[in-house]
Amino acid sequence: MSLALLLLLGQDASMPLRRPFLDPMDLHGAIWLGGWTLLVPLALGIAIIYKAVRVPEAEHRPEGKGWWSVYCRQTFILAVQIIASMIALAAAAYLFVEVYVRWIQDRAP
Amino acid sequence: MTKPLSSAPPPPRIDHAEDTLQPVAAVLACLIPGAGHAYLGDIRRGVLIFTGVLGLFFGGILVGGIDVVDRREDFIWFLGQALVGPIALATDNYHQNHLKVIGPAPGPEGRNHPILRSAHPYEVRDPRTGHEIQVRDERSGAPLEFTDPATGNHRMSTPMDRPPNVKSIGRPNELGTLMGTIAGMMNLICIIDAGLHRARRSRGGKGGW
Repeated sequence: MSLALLLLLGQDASMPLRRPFLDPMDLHGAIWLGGWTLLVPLALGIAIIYKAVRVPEAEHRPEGKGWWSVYCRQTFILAVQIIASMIALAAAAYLFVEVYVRWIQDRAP
Repeated sequence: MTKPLSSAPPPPRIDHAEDTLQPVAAVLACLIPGAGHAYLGDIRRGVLIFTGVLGLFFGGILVGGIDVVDRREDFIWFLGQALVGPIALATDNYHQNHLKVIGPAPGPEGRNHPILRSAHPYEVRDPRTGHEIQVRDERSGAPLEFTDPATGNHRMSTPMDRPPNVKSIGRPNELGTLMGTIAGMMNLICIIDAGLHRARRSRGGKGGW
Protein backbone atom coordinates (compact mmCIF):
# COMPACT_ATOMS: atom_id res chain seq x y z
CA MET A 1 0.00 0.00 0.00
CA SER A 2 1.51 3.33 -1.02
CA LEU A 3 2.76 5.79 1.55
CA ALA A 4 0.40 8.47 0.22
CA LEU A 5 -2.65 6.27 0.76
CA LEU A 6 -1.49 5.32 4.23
CA LEU A 7 -1.02 9.00 5.17
CA LEU A 8 -4.48 9.73 3.80
CA LEU A 9 -5.91 7.02 6.07
CA GLY A 10 -4.31 8.67 9.08
CA GLN A 11 -1.19 6.53 9.43
CA ASP A 12 1.70 8.19 11.24
CA ALA A 13 4.83 7.38 9.23
CA SER A 14 6.98 6.99 12.36
CA MET A 15 4.70 4.47 14.11
CA PRO A 16 3.87 0.78 13.53
CA LEU A 17 1.13 0.16 11.00
CA ARG A 18 -2.18 1.40 12.28
CA ARG A 19 -5.02 -1.13 12.48
CA PRO A 20 -8.25 0.37 11.08
CA PHE A 21 -11.21 0.36 13.49
CA LEU A 22 -8.93 -0.68 16.37
CA ASP A 23 -6.46 2.20 16.52
CA PRO A 24 -7.31 5.91 16.19
CA MET A 25 -6.34 7.90 13.13
CA ASP A 26 -3.49 10.37 13.17
CA LEU A 27 -5.12 13.72 12.41
CA HIS A 28 -1.90 15.75 12.35
CA GLY A 29 -1.50 15.43 8.59
CA ALA A 30 -2.11 18.55 6.51
CA ILE A 31 -5.13 17.06 4.75
CA TRP A 32 -7.03 16.66 8.01
CA LEU A 33 -6.42 20.19 9.36
CA GLY A 34 -6.31 18.73 12.86
CA GLY A 35 -9.64 17.01 12.28
CA TRP A 36 -11.66 19.94 10.93
CA THR A 37 -12.10 18.38 7.48
CA LEU A 38 -14.01 15.54 9.15
CA LEU A 39 -16.83 18.04 9.62
CA VAL A 40 -17.71 17.38 5.95
CA PRO A 41 -18.52 13.65 6.27
CA LEU A 42 -20.24 14.34 9.59
CA ALA A 43 -22.51 16.98 8.02
CA LEU A 44 -23.15 14.73 5.01
CA GLY A 45 -24.10 11.82 7.24
CA ILE A 46 -26.56 13.94 9.20
CA ALA A 47 -28.06 15.34 5.99
CA ILE A 48 -28.38 11.92 4.35
CA ILE A 49 -30.27 10.46 7.29
CA TYR A 50 -32.48 13.48 7.97
CA LYS A 51 -33.53 14.03 4.39
CA ALA A 52 -34.21 10.31 3.95
CA VAL A 53 -37.19 10.70 6.28
CA ARG A 54 -38.21 14.22 5.24
CA VAL A 55 -38.30 14.28 1.44
CA PRO A 56 -41.99 13.96 0.58
CA GLU A 57 -43.65 11.48 -1.72
CA ALA A 58 -44.84 12.30 -5.25
CA GLU A 59 -48.11 13.95 -4.30
CA HIS A 60 -46.32 16.57 -2.20
CA ARG A 61 -43.32 17.24 -4.46
CA PRO A 62 -42.95 19.95 -7.10
CA GLU A 63 -44.32 18.74 -10.39
CA GLY A 64 -41.82 17.13 -12.72
CA LYS A 65 -39.19 16.62 -10.04
CA GLY A 66 -38.02 13.09 -9.38
CA TRP A 67 -37.55 11.82 -5.83
CA TRP A 68 -33.78 11.37 -6.19
CA SER A 69 -33.16 14.80 -7.68
CA VAL A 70 -35.12 16.45 -4.87
CA TYR A 71 -33.37 14.30 -2.28
CA CYS A 72 -29.84 14.94 -3.54
CA ARG A 73 -30.44 18.67 -3.83
CA GLN A 74 -31.93 19.00 -0.35
CA THR A 75 -29.23 16.80 1.17
CA PHE A 76 -26.46 18.91 -0.35
CA ILE A 77 -28.10 22.16 0.77
CA LEU A 78 -28.55 20.88 4.33
CA ALA A 79 -24.94 19.70 4.53
CA VAL A 80 -23.70 23.10 3.35
CA GLN A 81 -25.98 24.82 5.89
CA ILE A 82 -24.60 22.67 8.72
CA ILE A 83 -20.99 23.41 7.74
CA ALA A 84 -21.67 27.12 7.30
CA SER A 85 -23.40 27.25 10.69
CA MET A 86 -20.47 25.55 12.40
CA ILE A 87 -18.04 27.99 10.79
CA ALA A 88 -20.20 30.93 11.82
CA LEU A 89 -20.42 29.64 15.39
CA ALA A 90 -16.66 29.17 15.51
CA ALA A 91 -16.12 32.70 14.19
CA ALA A 92 -18.54 34.12 16.74
CA ALA A 93 -16.82 32.25 19.57
CA TYR A 94 -13.42 33.46 18.36
CA LEU A 95 -14.59 37.08 18.19
CA PHE A 96 -16.10 36.83 21.65
CA VAL A 97 -13.03 35.32 23.32
CA GLU A 98 -10.19 36.94 21.38
CA VAL A 99 -11.66 40.36 20.74
CA TYR A 100 -14.44 41.23 23.19
CA VAL A 101 -13.04 39.56 26.31
CA ARG A 102 -9.58 40.99 25.59
CA TRP A 103 -11.12 44.43 25.12
CA ILE A 104 -12.87 44.15 28.48
CA GLN A 105 -9.68 42.88 30.08
CA ASP A 106 -7.70 45.83 28.72
CA ARG A 107 -10.24 48.28 30.09
CA ALA A 108 -10.44 46.65 33.49
CA PRO A 109 -8.89 48.69 36.32
CA MET B 1 -59.68 46.97 -11.97
CA THR B 2 -58.50 44.80 -9.14
CA LYS B 3 -55.17 43.11 -9.39
CA PRO B 4 -55.60 39.33 -9.86
CA LEU B 5 -54.55 37.21 -6.95
CA SER B 6 -51.35 35.21 -7.26
CA SER B 7 -51.81 32.05 -9.32
CA ALA B 8 -49.19 30.17 -7.33
CA PRO B 9 -50.56 26.93 -5.94
CA PRO B 10 -51.10 26.81 -2.19
CA PRO B 11 -48.44 24.98 -0.17
CA PRO B 12 -49.19 21.26 0.11
CA ARG B 13 -50.80 20.11 3.32
CA ILE B 14 -49.76 16.72 4.55
CA ASP B 15 -52.73 15.03 6.17
CA HIS B 16 -51.69 13.18 9.32
CA ALA B 17 -55.20 11.93 10.03
CA GLU B 18 -54.29 8.52 8.67
CA ASP B 19 -51.08 8.20 10.68
CA THR B 20 -51.18 5.07 12.72
CA LEU B 21 -48.86 3.39 15.13
CA GLN B 22 -46.56 0.90 13.44
CA PRO B 23 -45.13 -1.17 16.32
CA VAL B 24 -43.57 -3.80 14.07
CA ALA B 25 -41.80 -1.13 12.04
CA ALA B 26 -40.62 0.59 15.22
CA VAL B 27 -39.19 -2.65 16.62
CA LEU B 28 -37.47 -3.46 13.33
CA ALA B 29 -36.04 0.06 13.21
CA CYS B 30 -34.61 -0.46 16.68
CA LEU B 31 -32.94 -3.69 15.61
CA ILE B 32 -31.55 -2.64 12.23
CA PRO B 33 -31.35 0.99 11.07
CA GLY B 34 -33.71 1.47 8.13
CA ALA B 35 -35.49 -1.86 8.53
CA GLY B 36 -38.64 -0.17 9.78
CA HIS B 37 -38.99 1.94 6.65
CA ALA B 38 -38.21 -1.03 4.43
CA TYR B 39 -40.96 -3.00 6.19
CA LEU B 40 -43.39 -0.18 5.40
CA GLY B 41 -42.49 -0.38 1.72
CA ASP B 42 -39.99 2.49 1.56
CA ILE B 43 -36.98 0.50 0.44
CA ARG B 44 -34.93 3.48 -0.72
CA ARG B 45 -35.49 5.39 2.53
CA GLY B 46 -34.53 2.26 4.42
CA VAL B 47 -31.33 1.84 2.44
CA LEU B 48 -30.42 5.50 2.88
CA ILE B 49 -31.04 5.35 6.63
CA PHE B 50 -29.04 2.13 6.90
CA THR B 51 -26.15 3.62 4.95
CA GLY B 52 -26.18 6.92 6.82
CA VAL B 53 -26.51 5.59 10.36
CA LEU B 54 -23.96 2.80 10.02
CA GLY B 55 -21.70 5.02 7.95
CA LEU B 56 -21.60 7.58 10.76
CA PHE B 57 -21.21 4.92 13.46
CA PHE B 58 -18.41 2.97 11.83
CA GLY B 59 -16.89 6.19 10.52
CA GLY B 60 -16.56 7.30 14.12
CA ILE B 61 -14.86 4.02 15.02
CA LEU B 62 -12.55 4.43 12.03
CA VAL B 63 -11.55 7.91 13.23
CA GLY B 64 -11.19 7.26 16.95
CA GLY B 65 -10.67 3.52 17.14
CA ILE B 66 -12.91 1.08 18.95
CA ASP B 67 -12.07 2.91 22.20
CA VAL B 68 -14.81 5.47 21.38
CA VAL B 69 -17.49 2.84 22.13
CA ASP B 70 -17.10 2.18 25.86
CA ARG B 71 -20.03 1.84 28.23
CA ARG B 72 -17.76 1.77 31.29
CA GLU B 73 -15.67 4.87 30.71
CA ASP B 74 -18.04 6.97 28.55
CA PHE B 75 -21.45 5.84 29.73
CA ILE B 76 -23.36 8.99 28.82
CA TRP B 77 -21.99 8.98 25.28
CA PHE B 78 -22.67 5.25 25.05
CA LEU B 79 -26.35 5.86 25.77
CA GLY B 80 -26.50 7.79 22.50
CA GLN B 81 -24.41 5.23 20.63
CA ALA B 82 -26.65 2.41 21.87
CA LEU B 83 -29.55 3.95 19.93
CA VAL B 84 -27.89 2.59 16.78
CA GLY B 85 -29.08 -0.81 17.92
CA PRO B 86 -27.61 -4.23 18.74
CA ILE B 87 -24.65 -3.45 16.50
CA ALA B 88 -23.43 -0.87 19.02
CA LEU B 89 -24.03 -3.24 21.92
CA ALA B 90 -22.09 -6.00 20.13
CA THR B 91 -19.23 -3.59 19.39
CA ASP B 92 -19.00 -2.60 23.05
CA ASN B 93 -19.20 -6.23 24.15
CA TYR B 94 -16.26 -7.09 21.88
CA HIS B 95 -14.32 -4.11 23.21
CA GLN B 96 -14.93 -5.01 26.86
CA ASN B 97 -14.47 -8.78 26.68
CA HIS B 98 -11.91 -9.30 23.93
CA LEU B 99 -9.72 -6.19 23.84
CA LYS B 100 -9.51 -4.83 27.38
CA VAL B 101 -7.16 -6.41 29.88
CA ILE B 102 -7.47 -7.21 33.57
CA GLY B 103 -4.56 -5.34 35.05
CA PRO B 104 -3.44 -3.50 38.14
CA ALA B 105 -5.20 -0.30 39.02
CA PRO B 106 -3.19 2.96 39.10
CA GLY B 107 -1.34 3.69 42.32
CA PRO B 108 1.01 1.88 44.70
CA GLU B 109 -1.69 -0.59 45.83
CA GLY B 110 -2.87 -1.22 42.29
CA ARG B 111 -1.59 -4.80 42.19
CA ASN B 112 -4.08 -5.73 44.91
CA HIS B 113 -7.03 -4.30 43.04
CA PRO B 114 -7.10 -5.48 39.40
CA ILE B 115 -9.47 -3.62 37.11
CA LEU B 116 -10.73 -4.00 33.56
CA ARG B 117 -8.96 -1.36 31.49
CA SER B 118 -7.39 -0.66 28.12
CA ALA B 119 -3.95 -2.17 27.68
CA HIS B 120 -1.00 0.18 28.01
CA PRO B 121 1.37 0.64 25.04
CA TYR B 122 3.93 -1.70 26.67
CA GLU B 123 1.46 -4.54 27.31
CA VAL B 124 -0.16 -7.36 25.35
CA ARG B 125 -3.25 -9.37 26.26
CA ASP B 126 -3.32 -13.04 27.24
CA PRO B 127 -6.30 -14.35 25.23
CA ARG B 128 -6.93 -17.19 27.69
CA THR B 129 -7.12 -15.21 30.92
CA GLY B 130 -7.57 -11.62 29.71
CA HIS B 131 -4.73 -10.47 31.91
CA GLU B 132 -2.02 -8.07 30.84
CA ILE B 133 1.51 -9.19 29.99
CA GLN B 134 4.23 -6.55 30.08
CA VAL B 135 6.50 -6.84 27.04
CA ARG B 136 8.44 -3.55 27.21
CA ASP B 137 9.89 -1.41 29.95
CA GLU B 138 7.31 1.28 30.65
CA ARG B 139 9.92 4.03 31.06
CA SER B 140 12.58 3.28 28.45
CA GLY B 141 10.52 1.20 26.02
CA ALA B 142 13.26 -1.44 25.95
CA PRO B 143 12.02 -4.90 24.96
CA LEU B 144 11.60 -7.46 27.73
CA GLU B 145 11.51 -11.24 27.80
CA PHE B 146 8.07 -12.69 28.27
CA THR B 147 6.13 -15.94 27.82
CA ASP B 148 4.25 -15.81 24.53
CA PRO B 149 0.64 -16.83 25.33
CA ALA B 150 0.10 -18.12 21.81
CA THR B 151 3.03 -20.56 21.75
CA GLY B 152 4.07 -20.87 25.38
CA ASN B 153 7.67 -20.03 24.42
CA HIS B 154 9.82 -17.63 26.39
CA ARG B 155 11.17 -14.99 24.03
CA MET B 156 12.20 -11.35 23.62
CA SER B 157 9.41 -8.98 22.56
CA THR B 158 9.36 -7.43 19.09
CA PRO B 159 7.59 -4.32 17.70
CA MET B 160 4.79 -6.64 16.52
CA ASP B 161 3.91 -7.37 20.17
CA ARG B 162 1.51 -4.58 20.91
CA PRO B 163 -1.77 -4.05 22.77
CA PRO B 164 -5.06 -5.28 21.20
CA ASN B 165 -6.08 -1.68 20.52
CA VAL B 166 -4.70 1.80 21.10
CA LYS B 167 -6.59 4.07 23.44
CA SER B 168 -7.60 7.26 21.66
CA ILE B 169 -7.26 10.69 23.21
CA GLY B 170 -7.77 14.27 22.10
CA ARG B 171 -9.38 15.21 18.80
CA PRO B 172 -9.72 11.68 17.31
CA ASN B 173 -11.48 10.50 20.45
CA GLU B 174 -13.79 13.51 20.51
CA LEU B 175 -14.73 13.21 16.85
CA GLY B 176 -15.15 9.45 16.91
CA THR B 177 -17.35 9.53 19.99
CA LEU B 178 -19.40 12.39 18.59
CA MET B 179 -19.99 10.66 15.26
CA GLY B 180 -21.19 7.49 16.98
CA THR B 181 -23.52 9.35 19.30
CA ILE B 182 -24.96 11.46 16.49
CA ALA B 183 -25.58 8.26 14.52
CA GLY B 184 -27.64 6.95 17.43
CA MET B 185 -29.60 10.15 17.83
CA MET B 186 -30.38 10.33 14.11
CA ASN B 187 -31.50 6.70 14.27
CA LEU B 188 -33.88 7.68 17.06
CA ILE B 189 -35.52 10.13 14.66
CA CYS B 190 -35.85 7.33 12.12
CA ILE B 191 -37.33 4.96 14.74
CA ILE B 192 -39.95 7.54 15.69
CA ASP B 193 -40.70 8.22 12.02
CA ALA B 194 -41.14 4.51 11.33
CA GLY B 195 -43.28 3.96 14.41
CA LEU B 196 -45.64 6.89 13.83
CA HIS B 197 -45.97 6.39 10.13
CA ARG B 198 -48.77 5.34 7.83
CA ALA B 199 -47.84 2.76 5.24
CA ARG B 200 -47.18 4.59 1.98
CA ARG B 201 -47.81 1.47 -0.05
CA SER B 202 -48.75 -2.11 0.72
CA ARG B 203 -46.06 -4.68 1.27
CA GLY B 204 -45.09 -6.37 -1.94
CA GLY B 205 -46.72 -3.65 -3.96
CA LYS B 206 -45.21 -1.85 -6.90
CA GLY B 207 -42.53 0.68 -6.24
CA GLY B 208 -40.47 1.22 -3.12
CA TRP B 209 -37.48 2.52 -4.99
